[in-house]
Amino acid sequence: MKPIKIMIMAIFGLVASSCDDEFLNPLPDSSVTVDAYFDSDEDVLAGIIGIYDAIQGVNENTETNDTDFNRGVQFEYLLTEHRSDNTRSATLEGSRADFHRYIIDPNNVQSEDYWASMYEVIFRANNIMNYMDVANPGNVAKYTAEAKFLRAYAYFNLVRLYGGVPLVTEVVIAEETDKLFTRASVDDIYSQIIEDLQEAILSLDYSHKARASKGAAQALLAKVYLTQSTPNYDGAQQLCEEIINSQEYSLEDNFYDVFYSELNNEIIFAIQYQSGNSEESQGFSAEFTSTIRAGRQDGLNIPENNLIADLQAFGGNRTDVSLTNVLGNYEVGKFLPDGFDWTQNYGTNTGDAGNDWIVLRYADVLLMHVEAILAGTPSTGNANALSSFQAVRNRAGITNPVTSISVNDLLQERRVEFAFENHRFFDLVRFGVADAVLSGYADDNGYTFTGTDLLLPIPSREINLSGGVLNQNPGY
Amino acid sequence: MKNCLLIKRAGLRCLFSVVTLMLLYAQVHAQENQSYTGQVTSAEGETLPGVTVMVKGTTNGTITDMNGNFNVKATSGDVLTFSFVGFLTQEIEVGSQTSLNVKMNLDLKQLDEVVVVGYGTQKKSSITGSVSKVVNEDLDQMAVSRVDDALIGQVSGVNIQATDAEPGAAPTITVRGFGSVTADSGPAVVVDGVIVNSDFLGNMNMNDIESFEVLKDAASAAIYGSEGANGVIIITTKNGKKGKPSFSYETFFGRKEAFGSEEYKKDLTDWAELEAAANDGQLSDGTLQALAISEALGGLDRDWQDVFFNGGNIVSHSVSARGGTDKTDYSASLKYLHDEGVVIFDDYKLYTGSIKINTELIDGLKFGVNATPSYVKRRTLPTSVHNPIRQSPWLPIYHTEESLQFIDREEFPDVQVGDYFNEDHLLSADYNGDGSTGRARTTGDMNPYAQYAEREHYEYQTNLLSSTYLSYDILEGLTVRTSLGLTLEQRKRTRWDGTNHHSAGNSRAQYNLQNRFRTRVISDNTVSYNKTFGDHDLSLLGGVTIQRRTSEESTITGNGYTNDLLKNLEGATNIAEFAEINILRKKIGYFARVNYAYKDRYLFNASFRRDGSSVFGVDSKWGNFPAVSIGWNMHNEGFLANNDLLSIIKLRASYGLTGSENFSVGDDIINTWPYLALLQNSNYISDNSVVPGVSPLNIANTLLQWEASSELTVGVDYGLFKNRVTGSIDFYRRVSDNLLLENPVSYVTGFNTGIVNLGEVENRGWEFELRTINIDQDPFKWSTSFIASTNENELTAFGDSDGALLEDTYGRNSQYINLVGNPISSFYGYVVDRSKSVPNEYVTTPWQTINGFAEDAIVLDLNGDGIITNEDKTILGDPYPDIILSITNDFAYGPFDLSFMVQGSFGAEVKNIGDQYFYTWWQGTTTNPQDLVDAGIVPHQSFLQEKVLTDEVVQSASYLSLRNVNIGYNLPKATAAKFGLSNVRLYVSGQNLIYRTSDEYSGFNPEFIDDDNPRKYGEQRAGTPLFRTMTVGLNVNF
Repeated sequence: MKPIKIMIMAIFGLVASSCDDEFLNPLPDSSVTVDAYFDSDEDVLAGIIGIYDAIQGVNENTETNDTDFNRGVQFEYLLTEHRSDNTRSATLEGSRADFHRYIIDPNNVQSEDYWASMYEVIFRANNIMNYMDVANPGNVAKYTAEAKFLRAYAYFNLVRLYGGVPLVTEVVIAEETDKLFTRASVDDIYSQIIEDLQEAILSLDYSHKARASKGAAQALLAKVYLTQSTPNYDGAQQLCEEIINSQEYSLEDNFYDVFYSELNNEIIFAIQYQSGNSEESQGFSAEFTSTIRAGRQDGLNIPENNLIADLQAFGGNRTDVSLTNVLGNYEVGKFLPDGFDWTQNYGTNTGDAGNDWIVLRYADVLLMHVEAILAGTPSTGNANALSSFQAVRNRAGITNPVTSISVNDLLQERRVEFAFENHRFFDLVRFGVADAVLSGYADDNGYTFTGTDLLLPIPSREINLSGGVLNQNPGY
Repeated sequence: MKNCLLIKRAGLRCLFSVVTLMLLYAQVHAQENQSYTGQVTSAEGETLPGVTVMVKGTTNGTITDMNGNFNVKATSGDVLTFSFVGFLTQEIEVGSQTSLNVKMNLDLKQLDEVVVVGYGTQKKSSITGSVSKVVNEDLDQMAVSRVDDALIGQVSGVNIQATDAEPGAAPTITVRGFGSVTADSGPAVVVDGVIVNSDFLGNMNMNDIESFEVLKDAASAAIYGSEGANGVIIITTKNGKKGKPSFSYETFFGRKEAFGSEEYKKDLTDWAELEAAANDGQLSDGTLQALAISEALGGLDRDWQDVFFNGGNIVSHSVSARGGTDKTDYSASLKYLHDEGVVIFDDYKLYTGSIKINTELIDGLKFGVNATPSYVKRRTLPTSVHNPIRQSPWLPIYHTEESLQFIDREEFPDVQVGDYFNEDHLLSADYNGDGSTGRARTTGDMNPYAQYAEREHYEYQTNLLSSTYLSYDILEGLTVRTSLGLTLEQRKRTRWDGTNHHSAGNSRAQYNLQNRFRTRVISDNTVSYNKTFGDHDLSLLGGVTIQRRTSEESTITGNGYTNDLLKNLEGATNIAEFAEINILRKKIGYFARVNYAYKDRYLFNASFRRDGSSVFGVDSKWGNFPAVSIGWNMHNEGFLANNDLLSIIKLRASYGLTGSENFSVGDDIINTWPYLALLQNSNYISDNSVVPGVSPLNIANTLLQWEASSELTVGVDYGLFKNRVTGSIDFYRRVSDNLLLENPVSYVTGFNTGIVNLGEVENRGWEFELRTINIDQDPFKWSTSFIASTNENELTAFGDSDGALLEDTYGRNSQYINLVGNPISSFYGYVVDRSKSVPNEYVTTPWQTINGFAEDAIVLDLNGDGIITNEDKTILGDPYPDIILSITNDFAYGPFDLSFMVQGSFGAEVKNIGDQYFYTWWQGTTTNPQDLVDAGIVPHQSFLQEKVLTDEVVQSASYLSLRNVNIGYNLPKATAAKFGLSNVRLYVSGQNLIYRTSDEYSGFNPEFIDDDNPRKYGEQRAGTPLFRTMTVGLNVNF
């Protein structure tokens, strides 16, 4: 009976050893649990940094082409430049080609991705504020300000693109359908944005350009004041002047350096990328190229002829930087992958380029300054406005003195200054000319534009999940 | 027929066929008390030891010796009875002939295959579930690189689809349909009692395999609890047999040739002619340029399918030695297989060995060890074949002196003879000679040949499957057994994309290294008791199983290569990406089973398993999986005794619960610890350097629990005309509930999805098996087997997610839907208005006008509201076959035999995006939808939709194939013996000699699926091509 004893012992030994609680509760060793993580100031800072990561987005060229990934700001040109009169897709292939024709489906992959990315920013901001108690007390205000700045940034993009969207300022779970699927009014969203930015201005300093700063919060708030349904021109003017007077920023002498010298003097807030690093690089530079295939996707941001004409007529020395001539075709000259053009095969890291995405730069503040002084009037001869306006033009090599600035002058100046920087669509809306300009543009190009196209559709996925509670924007 | 070999095994296993009786009568001579001697063999000539030989009416008798010989004293006129378990008792009246050779025939009533079931075996007659058995008769004569490839068409209810036709790539196996929306629906694989990853099917030697058993119904699989939700394939390997060692050498050599696609075959002339025909005899500039280039380059006009589908050889050598003594048996084998694949640069080499030893240490105490090490080297295709195939016919691979003259030397100063030819090199070429420059271009980013030749993607696997066991018979019928199974899988994957693979040169060169090490340790401990009390057969089983699985995967990508000298990390100047994922899963299962049979008529079977898994949170770790089944062997009832018409009639019914803890969400960490809130790295760049960041990775779900499948099966087994006709009919209905899936949640939560238990899928279908012996008139034999299965898949509940559109690849809007009442992940899109097409004058890119193809189609306004919106989308089909069937005919004439299988699949659809790639130039589409509105062709721009979003790309995936043909010649034993051989077989075989797809299918392989994730199942970009194989083979035993 010896063998049987051994066997029985073996069996029971195994069973007994396996039945303790630990056996069925192993912990991961290549991922950290939330419970184990947040207990120091550095951990909270890491959580703050994680918010920027959501804006930075996942580079489609280096990650699998799966729509689960949030591309952050990398798809923004589709939702903005394409819907203005600036650019289009080279082909009619895929849902990326729907934006410039104003035939965006509520199911659109890229619009949905942008929506998701912005709410990811908001969630990460809301989430990290729950862990402020473990941060150094001296840093709490700064960290909170940073989170709120980013939350405001995301809501500002959402409200301009989609109108009144669900407004959450704390972490919500999937079961809290009331909070998830109730659209707040546009005014309520602006109130929240303003509150967040005002708080951010108080607690931030000028120590970063790729992270939130006092200047960034001021510039963003100035733009919010100009954009909200009842613009606060005084507030905007005051903020612009504070930025100008801070002397923290200045125009680059050479327009080229604005785009190819990272974190230069003109940059107020930029999303940074690193070339060759698949996790930290961007794909839009490759997507803006066309003639020589450079990325997984390309030919996605082709300049429209009337933009080319405007640039050639009014761009000054900005024209050659903004456009690049590839065998007779004009393509985007800003953000060329790491600065390499097609004759250089777009460099060595084409698909995972490191060009930063510029969110706010000093020229924008100067022109917002003009806009604030115009304050809805048709034109101005105000010396401060002229000075700001002239500064931008001088840098472009257009030095003839300006004596009066009309709304149209300003809009045109903005178009050639900020071509391909995702300003044009918002500018047209803010100046109240979107309907007129885009209708004409659509007629010229055989597209059908209606006023309801100024808002993107709420992703149909969200509407489905809400069981119909969330209502769609008109026209979709 | 392999009865002969099987019968040799002690215990008389696997007697399953019908043979005719051949008797040699002795002449009658009246003589007193004479010695009669002779040999007893089976009908196939295998000697039978242990046969009882008695003089009828006396107690005189003997037993045949090891060689089947006997010597018995009898008187002329006496009757000798020969009896042996499993055979019909024979009576022979003896006479003057004293030398008798007796052939014994199988007893059909005792036609009792032993079937391997979970943690044990059962007589086939007492099986109450749906268990199919495939004995390896000539499966090893099919020139395929994996054992599962050979099972196509062999088992009802099992669909094996060549979803990836590369050599060595796993087919997709489903048992009774897809039960899960996001998880792998493949069955569990058990080798000699040890659960292994299904990858091992690619590492085994078919020559080692004795049989496959497929546990199809939940009641049979429930003993495997949480492993059994999608059925179980049990593989039993060969044991050595008592006696002299026997050796075998088996080899085959085959030639594989791809089936191309006629649809995608367009030469230069076709191109020009078709365009001219569609365009009032005019050729566009693009075509003129292409014709001019071709002419300038010496009339180059190639079919790229010829270049890429270059065919390949497949060769295999396998040797084995098996034998045993009274107490010990052993088996060892070695195999080498090389499959070159049919696409250029794909390749597969397998080296596998096995050793298996069973021994009885002391009475009742048995011990065994089994080890199967293997090594695989595979070169895999770097990209889907759709891309190279859509290249221009004029495009050269390399530059020649002629082609170089077209290059603008200022732009491309360094290009020389022998370099890859790139379309971009022609950007400023004046090939018309008229001073104009322009481009004739398809994709242009890389030379199609370079895309394959300069990207070397390899996979190296070193695997070990091993198990040891110890069993002890405490009392008669009472056995305790403990076993330890250990599987190790090491896989190294290298992906070198060289400096010349892309026109952008060095910048695109990169190397990706992935190492994965997986282990699985399983300890199974059982106590079993089998006893017959008079009319009562009882068997009991109890046990506990403990399992620990790990996977350690790391990946690193280097770039910055300036040459191709070091195709590894040593040549890199920059590390672009790195990651490590380690997972650990543990499981404990307790199980018990009772089988009871009364008079072999009334059968009852019940089992219970309780599984605990580390995947679930504390409150939901445990799941219970009970099952019950009953059977009635009606043919054993008095009223059917000796019924010549009905020899077998058995009614069966079973019901059981199985579970699953598997789900795929694209992140191993989340599906291993779904109940924990985890963080991910979310770094950012600030002040030009990386700063560490974190963010929440998932929505933790502490309530997550087992996915459960309940299945009802009713069936009948029948045998007619003394079992010349046998078979079974089954009906099943399986409801998979509490599906583990990644459910979309509002983005406002900050997440895309959360893992939940949601939804219910029902699979139902019929399974038919019919085997007939049509002719059995020595020397001619003909038998047929017919197998058919139907399956219907339906999403029966999906909570809030009903109607959810699923994400899709390729940057397009959703094209799949999960809608209650329809199959899971159905194709969803617009319906093309067949009465209209986009007139050619609105389409200006030449390729697009061929055969009237255009990128856009005019679609139907299903809801009639005058505009095309999401509301006009509808379900366009699904990728699941409705019926699969096979018919196999076996013929034998003396030493010759022939068998062939016709196999088909009907009712599935495939979304073939190949057309979209083939017929569309990616650049320069100029269709302007508004022009069509202005011309009154469509009422609104939205009526024009990309074809890829319509039913235009949904094609029938039905096929009918001559799947397998085998013609063999067995050398007569006497002749073989002259060479000291016991058996010599020569054969020729062919796979897929005929393969017919539906007319509407235009790709290379209707079975191919790009991504076997159920959410995107059924999509392909023309697919890796199907192929036919012609093989010659030789089997030698000695």
